[in-house]
Amino acid sequence: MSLPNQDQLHIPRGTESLHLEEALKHRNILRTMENQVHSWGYLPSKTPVLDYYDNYSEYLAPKRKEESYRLIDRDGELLLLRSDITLFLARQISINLKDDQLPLRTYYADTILRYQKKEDISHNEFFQTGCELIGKEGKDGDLEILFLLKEILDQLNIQDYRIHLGSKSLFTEVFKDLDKSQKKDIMAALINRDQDAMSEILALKAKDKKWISFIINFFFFIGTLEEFNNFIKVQSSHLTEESQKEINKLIQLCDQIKALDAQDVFRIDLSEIGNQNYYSSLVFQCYLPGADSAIASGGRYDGLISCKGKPISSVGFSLLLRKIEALLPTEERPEPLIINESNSFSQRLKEARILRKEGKAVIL
Amino acid sequence: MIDKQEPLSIALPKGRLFEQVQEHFSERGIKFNFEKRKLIAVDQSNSYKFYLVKNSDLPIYVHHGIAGLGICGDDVIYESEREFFRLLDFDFGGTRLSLAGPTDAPWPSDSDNIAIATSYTTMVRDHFHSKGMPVDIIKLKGSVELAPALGLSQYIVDLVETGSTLKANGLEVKEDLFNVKVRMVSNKAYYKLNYHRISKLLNILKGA
Repeated sequence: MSLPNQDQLHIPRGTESLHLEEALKHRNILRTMENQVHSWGYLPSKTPVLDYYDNYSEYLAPKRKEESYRLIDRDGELLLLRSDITLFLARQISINLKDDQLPLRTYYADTILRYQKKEDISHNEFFQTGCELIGKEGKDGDLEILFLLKEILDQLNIQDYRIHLGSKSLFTEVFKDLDKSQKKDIMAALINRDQDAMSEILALKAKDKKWISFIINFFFFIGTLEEFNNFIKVQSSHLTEESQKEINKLIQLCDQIKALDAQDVFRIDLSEIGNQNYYSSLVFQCYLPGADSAIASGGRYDGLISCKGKPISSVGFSLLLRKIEALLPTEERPEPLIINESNSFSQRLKEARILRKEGKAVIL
Repeated sequence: MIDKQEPLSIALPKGRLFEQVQEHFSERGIKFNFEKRKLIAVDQSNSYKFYLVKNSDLPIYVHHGIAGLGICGDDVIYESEREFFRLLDFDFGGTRLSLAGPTDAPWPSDSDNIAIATSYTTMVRDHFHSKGMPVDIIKLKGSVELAPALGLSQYIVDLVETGSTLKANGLEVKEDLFNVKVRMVSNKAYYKLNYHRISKLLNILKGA
């Protein structure tokens, strides 16, 4: 192949190519992850690279819409290139799911295509892996997914990561009286941790300054599970009965995490309200020193997957593996042995077979 | 990057705003100085590491997490089109982004397709598009007040403090588009991993 024009030396934005040592590292990390999820009883799924855009438009958050590549096929249908595997998987599973398959445990590992600015050199959103636990309601399902993520990260020998837990349903309950536009503005202020903006929006709705101050302190809380327990003891009198129910779900989850002696890696963070429209209750993001944004995110979603028209509650996470790979050391790989080239090919092949049986890599 | 003893990293903008930031920190007990030609400094307590960067590059450093925190104006944040946590507004350095034109020029009606010279193309586009007004935007990197005088465009959008530069060039403010505040912003992941120490810093800076 001849060399491309100078302006085509790069590849289109949002994709990448991997070669040799870097590709080997990627595969080894992926293999470690896959071995772990297999041991938890999860089976692989493959999703199409393209699907019809209309199936997903209502579930795509504005930012994801901006990042997604869309194109028109020869019949004039608008297509979406795979930018979030959870969505593509949900549709494929909804088409084929049968009652007797529930709960279903599946995982995926594939490339995604998201537009990125040319200077976003470290964004690394090219490859998404993840696990979905479909049709398992309640705390046990939430814990299974959280601990599966934790054990994958531990297995990869990743240090100092933190998983921040929040609740979309708590947010929905507290702000249930706001209209769609106000809720959107509150979400934006919370996602940006902009206290002034949140205060201004709430002031349009409520006159009680104490309530506004409480709401801001409440949703900006980040702390350990212990700190959250103490915080809630003081704050709970301000909450409605329904909001308290949502808090109790988080407290019960915290109790289980503490009983399993895993509290060090978890934080309660009520500003986590989910980075996608489809999340409905538990939401979480995982942060790692050195990574410019969350390396994993997930939560429970109730309306995305259905079985014969009936919504199935599910929980899952996605992990941006390439973000992690950049931070992990490259394993030392022994150089392959080179057989004496003066020997005949058949002699070299015989000798190589013996050495390969001993676990050595050999070049003929 | 996690809540251990590495100093918190803060990108500061070169230029006039830097002196105000340095003074604000100093008044609250955080003292630091950049040695001649050096662009990295650490405060006396070794708690904060400061990077001196070009104003418009500041969001890039924070976006990539090279500096976890940064101090800059809303205009720089908006034009970078990146998302940060907005942690604190400062009471200094605030200004306005305003539309200006020749004193004798009429204010354009909604139906006019006007040409505007500006360095703030994203803010201008979003402002006028949100009002349903089409505009032709001409990007300039500086001295935008020249554009109407030389016939490049009838209007300009620029940061306005006293208005004296506008007046000297025969221009006047027709409309204020945005109030620009100076803020402390944070890389989101950096904040989540260092929230205790960042909260402490915010309390110091607020004088709480």
